[in-house]
Amino acid sequence: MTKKQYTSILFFMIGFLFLMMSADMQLGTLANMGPGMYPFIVSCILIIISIAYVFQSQKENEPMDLDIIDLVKMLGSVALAIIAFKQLGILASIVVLVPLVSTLHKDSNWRHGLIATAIASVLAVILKLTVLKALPLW
Amino acid sequence: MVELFLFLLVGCLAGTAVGVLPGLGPSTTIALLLPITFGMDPVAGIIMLAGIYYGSQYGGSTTAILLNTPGENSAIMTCIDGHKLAKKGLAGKAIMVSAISSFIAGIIMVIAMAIISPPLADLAFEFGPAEYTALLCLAFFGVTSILSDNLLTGLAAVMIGILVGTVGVDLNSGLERFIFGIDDLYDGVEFVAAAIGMVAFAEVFRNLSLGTTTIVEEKNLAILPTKEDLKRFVPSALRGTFIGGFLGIIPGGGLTGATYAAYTVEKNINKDLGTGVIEGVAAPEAANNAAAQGSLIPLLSLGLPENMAMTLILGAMIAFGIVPGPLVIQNYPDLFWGLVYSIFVGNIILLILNYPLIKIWVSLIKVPYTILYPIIIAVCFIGTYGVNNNSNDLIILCAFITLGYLFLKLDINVVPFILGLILGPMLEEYFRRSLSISQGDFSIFINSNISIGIWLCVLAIISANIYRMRKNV
Repeated sequence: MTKKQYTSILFFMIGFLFLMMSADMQLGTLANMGPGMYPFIVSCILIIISIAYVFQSQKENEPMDLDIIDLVKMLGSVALAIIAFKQLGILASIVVLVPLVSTLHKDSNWRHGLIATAIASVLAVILKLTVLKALPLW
Repeated sequence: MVELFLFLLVGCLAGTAVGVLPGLGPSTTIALLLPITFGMDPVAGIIMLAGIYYGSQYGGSTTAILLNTPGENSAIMTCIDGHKLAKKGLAGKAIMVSAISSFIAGIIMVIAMAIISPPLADLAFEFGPAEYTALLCLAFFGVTSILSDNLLTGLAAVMIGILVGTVGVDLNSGLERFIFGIDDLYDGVEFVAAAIGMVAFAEVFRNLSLGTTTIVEEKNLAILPTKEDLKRFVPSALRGTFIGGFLGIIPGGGLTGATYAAYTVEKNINKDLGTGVIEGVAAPEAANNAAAQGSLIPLLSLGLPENMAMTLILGAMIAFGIVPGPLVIQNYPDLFWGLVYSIFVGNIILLILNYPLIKIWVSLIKVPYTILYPIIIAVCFIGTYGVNNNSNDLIILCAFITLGYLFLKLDINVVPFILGLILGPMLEEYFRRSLSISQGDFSIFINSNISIGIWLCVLAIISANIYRMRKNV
């Protein structure tokens, strides 16, 4: 499948999902719209665009390069940081997050990760002391 | 007077600092400092809060230029040319152009505010819901046609943004929409989480895939613009000021809408916009500063806040016992003229303040990217939490990181999505109100000359795009 085909599928799926969900809500009339009418209209337009896009991009055949390893690693790091943050506060979450995301760059090394962790921790403390009073440090 | 000056200085400094930090906007800072101002003289308190507000407009462009991450949502258009200038080694000059453009806009707007605020405020009454609906559609089509190679993908991104913007409680019926049992989504999707996930993280992914080791090399250390530069960007800044000032005064015009409109107009004048030119920084920066100061006019004359920061300032005014509305200028001349004075002085403070600070900001880009990007991610993490002090916003951030990654891989421009997310709820409100007034009759959208003029512009944009597409085929 080409990149354009993936794009039109993404648009169609999002449009279809919202169309189904909004159709379950009160639609009302044009003069007195229910909560579902506006997203219903917008998702219809999105579906029409996705179909038009399929026809428009038929001649193009740029292949799709969807290497999701970086995405999975990033989401995993953020998810672990969220858990650490909820349990132990921002400093612990930085100690988890920063070294983990540092590994995503091929030229990074443990020293860079350590420096980044130290700077990010100092920034967190500064923010806590100045504007983010509610930020739990630990 | 000295006391007022000090409060103004504190406000400007705090505003610039929060503007630089992605995700930590003026609303958060105003909310945090609000209780402190309650012990102050009302004029001093409001001046300090206003200083934070327009100071953040100066600071918001810095990260947009250096890191391609808008510190403020209104700085998103500055990313386009600003970051490309930084990549050319002209980061310092780009930030200075941004500061000077903001200064020009600020000075012109303070004069406008003092001289013509009452008659200009009257113009807002000409805009009804049908005119606003047309204006928002023009913003969507205009931005999409500029930023997307393909009008269809751009419009689809806008539609997705609008759909995501419908998440939360429907204000008309009070019924919830698409919240999937998550209570934190009652108030809608947090814009900061969306902007950080889709703009900042996508930029990190892009740099990781390219194996970037330094963001940019600062080749040209000259910060001050040359005479030639001034000739190029001052007209753009003046056009941006006019557009931003006008949209700032119209309630609902908004800062972000003003920067989009200014960039759209500038793009029609200068075809090089988008390749990294100073005009592409000057126009949106002048527009957002002019709109920020222009939006004080409907706040003071009509009691209409344009955004969260304005709403908080309005709340502070009410707490001080000041009744917002058309009589503010007459009943509280100290407040009105104090603000006019503070904006004038504040703009001078901000320009002077920015000159030494630029060198500090630019030195940021000399840090190896392998150290910088984990810090950016950590600040984004803290910033996302800091908006509402809610760790569940971080889970929403993960959803937007995924969507941003898909947009990046599929070459879909994220700006139309963000525009749809921000302006979508406003479009719904005006669209529903228009059809409610007309009892479902669509002719309301072409009932006035203003509406007809705006729709003709939309038609022209669509025609131009169809022509461009056929030419390419």
